[in-house]
Amino acid sequence: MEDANKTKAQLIDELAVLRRRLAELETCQIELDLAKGQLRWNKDDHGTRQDGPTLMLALLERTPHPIVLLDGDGGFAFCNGAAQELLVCSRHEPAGRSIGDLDATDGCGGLVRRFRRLWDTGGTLEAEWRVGEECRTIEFTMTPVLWNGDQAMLSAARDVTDKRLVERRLEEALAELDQFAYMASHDLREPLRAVTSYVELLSRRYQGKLDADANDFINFAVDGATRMQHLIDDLLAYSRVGTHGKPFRPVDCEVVFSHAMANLAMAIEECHAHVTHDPLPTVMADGTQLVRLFQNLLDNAIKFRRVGSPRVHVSYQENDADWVFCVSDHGIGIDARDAERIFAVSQRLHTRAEYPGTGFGLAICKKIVERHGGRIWVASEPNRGSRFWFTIPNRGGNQA
Amino acid sequence: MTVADLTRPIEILLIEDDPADSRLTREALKENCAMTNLHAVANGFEALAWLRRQGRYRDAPRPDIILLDLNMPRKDGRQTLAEIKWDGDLRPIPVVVFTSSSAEEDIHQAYGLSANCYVIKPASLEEFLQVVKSVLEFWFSVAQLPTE
Repeated sequence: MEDANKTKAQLIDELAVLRRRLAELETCQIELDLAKGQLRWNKDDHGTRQDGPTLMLALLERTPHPIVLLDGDGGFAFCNGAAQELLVCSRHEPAGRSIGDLDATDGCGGLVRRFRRLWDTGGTLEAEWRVGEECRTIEFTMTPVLWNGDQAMLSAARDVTDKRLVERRLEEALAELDQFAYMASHDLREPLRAVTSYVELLSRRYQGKLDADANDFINFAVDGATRMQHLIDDLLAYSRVGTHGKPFRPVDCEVVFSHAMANLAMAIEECHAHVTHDPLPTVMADGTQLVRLFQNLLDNAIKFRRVGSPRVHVSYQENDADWVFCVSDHGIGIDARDAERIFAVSQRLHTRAEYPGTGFGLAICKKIVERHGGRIWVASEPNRGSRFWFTIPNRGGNQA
Repeated sequence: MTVADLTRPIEILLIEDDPADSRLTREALKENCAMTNLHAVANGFEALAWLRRQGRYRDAPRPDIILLDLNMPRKDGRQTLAEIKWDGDLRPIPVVVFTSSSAEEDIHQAYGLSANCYVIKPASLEEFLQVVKSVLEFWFSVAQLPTE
């Protein structure tokens, strides 16, 4: 009759104690299993078993990282110390005996469904988890293992809240920087246009009416203002890659190539460049940015030529994950030491008198490729031409 | 009404807050379009007073065309455009938005407010002169305008 006097809260507390005991018992069971050598790793047995199951158990128990063994129903077959602590902190104990309970108590949102999807392959999944008063982001790394003859999932948890926070802050800072560069270059255009226009007007109205010095000064001013205009235009283009990107759609690279060629028509005609290309695929990309990418690479291939008409070829290969494009030329080439540097902002290897430009071209290319999740690099030797490679991840755009 | 029909200079009202741009437009007209009278005001309040012949603008001529900058202090170009096109008497006067903004939302909004055309101020002098010339040629040689 004593039981009848207990409050509901007391009963729940007792239940909690019992559940914890049960968990301890199960841990003992695991210890026993380990001792009997029944717990085997599904993959890569590097002979750890020979070193003794006790060592492994100690490792499992003592590691500060929560490790859980999940059975086919997502039930916690085994929790190490850190995992128990995490479960207690997040008040899933005593209520939670499986990840299904986590779903129920925390609204983790389809944790069971996501867990099942990883059942055969393993992998990682992330969940927002209430720990104490805070909401934390927990990442689970799942590895399929054999346990007592059945498949189970070994799951190592890691609190990645701080990491994600830093990543998010970094992304925000980069976006802010892009926004700043965009606004600055945009606002600078207006006063610069006034400078350029009036110096040009001076030169137009008074060229030849002044002495040689005055003409020189005007020319330097016109040249300086024009260069600044190009720099600001390129800075604007560079920042727009981040701030004004469009969503990725299937883009026919044949069309992209024609656009880029049309934009370069004058330069190509001037030096009688011979530009050829393989039949090009359809990829998932931002079309406008892809035109800019091709245009900048082709422009460089034509600009940095040796004597004679330049020959440029665009080729591509396909591998499992990427489309790999290559723009190759027979131009002046690049020293291997400079192969990294040329992709940085405002890097020039030549004087403006030798080869004009702002030094933004390849930085813009790199930013575009990276926005698409690809890589860009160069293979070159001085006087033996250059091959600029870049990848665009294959997201199935060729089937579209 | 085309240039050929005009026995008087074309009256242009330029609504522009930047004196440098205002002067540049004047210079462009001087080089290429002789038969024009350019009147410049610095904001929307002044412009509407001019168009409605209020206060010191009692004797102001009615412009044949309006060149309108978008970004101005006090009453800006968008508001001014809306008020001109809201006014049945002023509505027929062609308004050319002449701005350095290439922002898509600005272009969209200007046409939404019934701008007659949207022209971006070019960066180089040569193009600037050319654009001013083309705009006037279009409105006064190619297009037909209502007679008063």
